[in-house]
Amino acid sequence: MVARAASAPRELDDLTLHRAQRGDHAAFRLLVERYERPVWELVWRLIAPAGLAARAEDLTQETFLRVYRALHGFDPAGPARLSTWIFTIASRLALNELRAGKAAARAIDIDAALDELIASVPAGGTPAREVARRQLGEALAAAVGALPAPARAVLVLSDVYELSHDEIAHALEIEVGTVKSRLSRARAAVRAQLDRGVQS
Amino acid sequence: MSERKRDDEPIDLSAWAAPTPPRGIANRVMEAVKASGGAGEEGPSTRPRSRSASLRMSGRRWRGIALGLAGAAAAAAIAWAVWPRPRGGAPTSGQVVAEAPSKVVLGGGSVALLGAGADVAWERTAAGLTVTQAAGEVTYQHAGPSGLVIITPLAEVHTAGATLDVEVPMSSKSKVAIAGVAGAGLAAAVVIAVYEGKAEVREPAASPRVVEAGAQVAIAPTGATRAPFAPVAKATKDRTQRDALAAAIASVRATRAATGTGGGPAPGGPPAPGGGQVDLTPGQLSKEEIRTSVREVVPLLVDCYTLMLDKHPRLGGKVIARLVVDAEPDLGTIVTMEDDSEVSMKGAAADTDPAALQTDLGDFRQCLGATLESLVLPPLGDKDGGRVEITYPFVFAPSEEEADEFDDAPAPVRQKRVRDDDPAPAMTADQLLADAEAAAKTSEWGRAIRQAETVMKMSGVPRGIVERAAMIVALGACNLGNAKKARAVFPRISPAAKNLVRQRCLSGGIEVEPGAPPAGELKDPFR
Repeated sequence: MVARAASAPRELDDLTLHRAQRGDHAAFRLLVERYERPVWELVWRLIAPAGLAARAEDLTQETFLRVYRALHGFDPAGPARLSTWIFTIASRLALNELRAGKAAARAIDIDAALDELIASVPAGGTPAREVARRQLGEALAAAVGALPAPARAVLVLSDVYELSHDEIAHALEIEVGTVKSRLSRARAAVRAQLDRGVQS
Repeated sequence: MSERKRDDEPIDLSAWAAPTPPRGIANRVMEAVKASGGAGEEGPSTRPRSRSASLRMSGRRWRGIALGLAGAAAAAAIAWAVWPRPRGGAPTSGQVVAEAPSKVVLGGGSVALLGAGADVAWERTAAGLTVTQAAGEVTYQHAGPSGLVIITPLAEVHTAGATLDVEVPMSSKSKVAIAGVAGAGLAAAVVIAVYEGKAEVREPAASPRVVEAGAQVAIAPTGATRAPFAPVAKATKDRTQRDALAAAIASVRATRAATGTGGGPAPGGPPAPGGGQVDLTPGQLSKEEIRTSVREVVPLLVDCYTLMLDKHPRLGGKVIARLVVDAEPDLGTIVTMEDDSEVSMKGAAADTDPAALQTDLGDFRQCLGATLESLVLPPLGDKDGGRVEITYPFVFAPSEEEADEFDDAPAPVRQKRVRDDDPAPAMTADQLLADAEAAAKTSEWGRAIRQAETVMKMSGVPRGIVERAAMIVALGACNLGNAKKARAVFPRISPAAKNLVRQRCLSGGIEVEPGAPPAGELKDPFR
């Protein structure tokens, strides 16, 4: 089980980045369009398990506004890739949201209800492979969602977005050793829960 | 594998799919960005009206109206007195296109007063301040101590301390219309007037000139070329990677052809790079995907055009780019601009040397080709890769007003063998239903309904699949407020799902079956 999700985005080209840093709105728009999906997915993965999926859009927009304000200070020649730098901002925002006690589950919206409905209706002619994958996805969502938010953040940044231990440590403002231990425990917890699901 | 070692291995979380992000995030971010003001701008202008008027007069003087510099210099002095001094903390770089007269603190001892339409970008380094002025009238007050360099389309202005006015006329209205996208254009002449201090004007292929206080110079276009734009270099760099990718694709296809795997060549398929045969798998690129990718390189296309406008300021026209997209799923995608792409330009000056014009058009075409061939497109085709042809029209015009004149035959994006709104014909009912469900889960109701309705129209589909498709159509229709559609498909939903669909629609204010008992009396069959 080592294949990674293809969530690490292709980086913005240097010219467009340079223009965006100079305040070129068209270039910044390209930046937003390039990274909006991975940022939204990252934020969603971090906060949806806490019942805050409805906040994902706001946090994604806030991420890009902060990126805009700080972009002139980003050093393309520095150690961080642009995507890593943006993910750092997004991760911190998401964790702050979780810490701020806003995790009280909102009322389930219509889309969530429909999601549940569609998943619950017998699959009819849906290919078995798709069904199996959907079930795996649901099991993973449950297992990862059960992790404490800081551990979930480490796991997602590592195994979905392929950030290094150092990058995660910087993004989450924790020690590298803490990253390693949390990541190991998070993986163990997820695997244990998946194994339990298989056995039951 | 020990438990500890196992926990060092990443977990494949790809099955835990996040929903598609809501549409319009970029629009909303950009609205917020614009509402917060551009980088370096300081809000409403404090520029005195009288000062603005004098700047306009200096422009007219360039056109032959006699006017002494004394008045303008006096106005500049007054303006300087009332301007706030530059504050610390100005951004080290930025760009502003002034919609109205405004003031920008550039830092490094410099302030700029921008007339409406002025387009400047600046960057402050330890070596000094560099401003690129693409358009409009700007008055600079530079107190030093480091240097100020103002780069205009026709000359550079260097100063260690001065109050000066730089006018790049016409550009504020110059636009390049490319498939509906506008970009910056090019100025035709530059006027530099110095009010205080002195400045040095450097033109290509000419000796530097020192302009003292009270004097001005006008730089007319001479046809001199400037250094190639960065996009050209970028495209060249991308070309290396592209060639390597093309070779890799050719190698894979040659192997596939030799081993007889991959479904074999399609009838009529063109030869692949390296002599192999290309499988003509229908592509699944949507117009929006293509447009999105092309939008990314529009600024580079604009630069190609701007390079040509350097030599032919009135030249404009239409380019019909014929692109071939060749893809291998495990390798990547290459784009080739075909030789039969059309470049139709007009508006060259009467005394233009035809041979020189052809050379310049050739350069223009090459620049466009290199740029378009650097396009990065989404995955295409099935496991055997795919190849599609795209026809993409561009209109280039020196001004937005002239774009229609050059766009005499508006043409939409046309693709050969590229499906757009319709599902790919190879998709089975199961696949369509799975796609519809995936779309519904992410609230892409338009696609969900379209795919599900396609399933319902297909013949020989098992009843269970049709019922499920009908359920998705009904849910989507209710979500979109389309009661008529919801009611139309409701009878085709399975009895087991009807109650719940009825409830969901009622929660959205739609009664799919008039006369049904109230939602509160219904029981959820799945709980």
